[in-house]
Amino acid sequence: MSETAFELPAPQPMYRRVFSVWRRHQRVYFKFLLANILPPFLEPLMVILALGVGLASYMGLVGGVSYAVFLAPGMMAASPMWSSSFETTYGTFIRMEYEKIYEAILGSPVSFVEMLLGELLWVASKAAMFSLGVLLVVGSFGLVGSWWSLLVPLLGFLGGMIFALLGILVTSQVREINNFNFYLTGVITPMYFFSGAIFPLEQLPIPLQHLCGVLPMTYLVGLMRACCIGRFTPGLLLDLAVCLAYCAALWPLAASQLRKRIVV
Amino acid sequence: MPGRPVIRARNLRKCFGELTAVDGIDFEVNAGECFGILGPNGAGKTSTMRMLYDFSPRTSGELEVFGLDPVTEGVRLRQVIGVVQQSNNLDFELTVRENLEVYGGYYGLRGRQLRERLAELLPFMELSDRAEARIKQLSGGMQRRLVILRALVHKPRLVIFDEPTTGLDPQARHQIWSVLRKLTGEGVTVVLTTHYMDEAERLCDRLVIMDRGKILHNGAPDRLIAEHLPRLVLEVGSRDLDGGWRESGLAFEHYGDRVFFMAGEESDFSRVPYLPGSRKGILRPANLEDLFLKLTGRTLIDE
Repeated sequence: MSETAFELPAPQPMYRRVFSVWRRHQRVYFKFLLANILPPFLEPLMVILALGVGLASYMGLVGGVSYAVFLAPGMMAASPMWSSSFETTYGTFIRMEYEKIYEAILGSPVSFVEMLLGELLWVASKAAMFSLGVLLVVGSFGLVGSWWSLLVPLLGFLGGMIFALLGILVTSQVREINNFNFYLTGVITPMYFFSGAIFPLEQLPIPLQHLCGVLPMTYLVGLMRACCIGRFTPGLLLDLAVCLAYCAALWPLAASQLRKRIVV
Repeated sequence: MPGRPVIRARNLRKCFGELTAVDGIDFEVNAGECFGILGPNGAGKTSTMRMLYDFSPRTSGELEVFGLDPVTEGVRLRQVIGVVQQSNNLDFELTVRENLEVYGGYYGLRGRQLRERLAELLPFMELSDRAEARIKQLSGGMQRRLVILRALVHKPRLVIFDEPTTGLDPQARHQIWSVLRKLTGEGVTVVLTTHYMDEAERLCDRLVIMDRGKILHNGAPDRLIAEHLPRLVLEVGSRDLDGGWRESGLAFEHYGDRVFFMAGEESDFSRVPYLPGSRKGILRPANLEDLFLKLTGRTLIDE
């Protein structure tokens, strides 16, 4: 008997393999659904309650709307940022170094790029889910004034993808899990506070405003707010282009660096 | 009888920067054969295995698996290759059954096809009554069996085992050996790495002994032993020997506080100069461990 005694089966279409990885992550995540989903869902709502309702009673209008209405889209952008960042730093690192999940997947027909795509799409889907969660709760309190807000999950997906790619790129360079503190506190936390999510950036000195202008979060917040308030300007197209450009620029970097780290 | 080999490697080389892990090796594996790659840690076993299923690309040389180049045909090849890696890289949050379902998903197995395959597989490894157990509730031996089961979910034609029994107790090792024999009995080709001599001698039709990226010897285990070593070995503690033991005229290897005398006949060992009242050595047939020691001056495990 030689090896020609059987036929090599035709490969599955690529999207199936990508989806099988997406599905793996989804199954594992849903196994502990409550513990996974409740904290990231409640946190932005607590911020809206504390600042948007509590603190806002001492404020006038912000950007022409009540502070709660101003703040809500900020949280719809922050929620995907946090969820994607945690998932692709600690989560990806644990899968890579401790659980060796990627090694296991690469023993199957799934290729490296398919595996990474499946992971990114899952992380972005999860991000979309969280921004939708905030939208539904906040919307039910009448704080969302436009049907354009139906685009919020899509923007959550886009934002989730940016921060997933950024997180993967960081993880590909990190040797020691504790070092993620530097990234999360040094990069992600400043984006949370200084991207227009919590207060209008016009309050900052001009040089700082320019600095904030390079952060992807600033553009995501702008898009979220425009959709929730229903106030559009031509500049928003630029915001969208910047977000897409971040994805396009980060993808080859993140993919090549993580490949180097896992496959060698 | 044998057709084209399932695996054919010529001058295969793998470098990581300055380090040469696999240094230009040649070997062939035939269909239905159990082929062993033997060597201490760092010999280049895992790097060799990883090139077979295109986990990592080779640096140079030729490599064919089922007549195809793994680098360009990795996805197609892995549909007929099963891979058991060194670590128990399971989805720890999921149950036994869910682990198999998820892994089957990577091969496009779904629905009834997948359920039927699982019903076949679970009894195969005596895991049926643990199908709904979480991975953390399984013993190390059970986790290992599940990793192996997972690699068989798509009925592979070639299965690659990287140290399948390292760290397991004797009972678990026997269970895994019987599965390996069953596979080759069904015509599946098996490639395994190990640093256990007894494992290699028991299972492998042919093997290569590797050290520092090179193949030192290649052949059937009993033939390699017969060709390179006398039939018998007497293993003695060096403290039990007279200081002049090196002049006994017997072939020997010295490792740590043990001396291994080698000879064709039991009566030859009467020349071993024991100290008065000391413990006598252990007489046994020469094995692959002795061969490795003779070739490298080191043992396979202590590295």
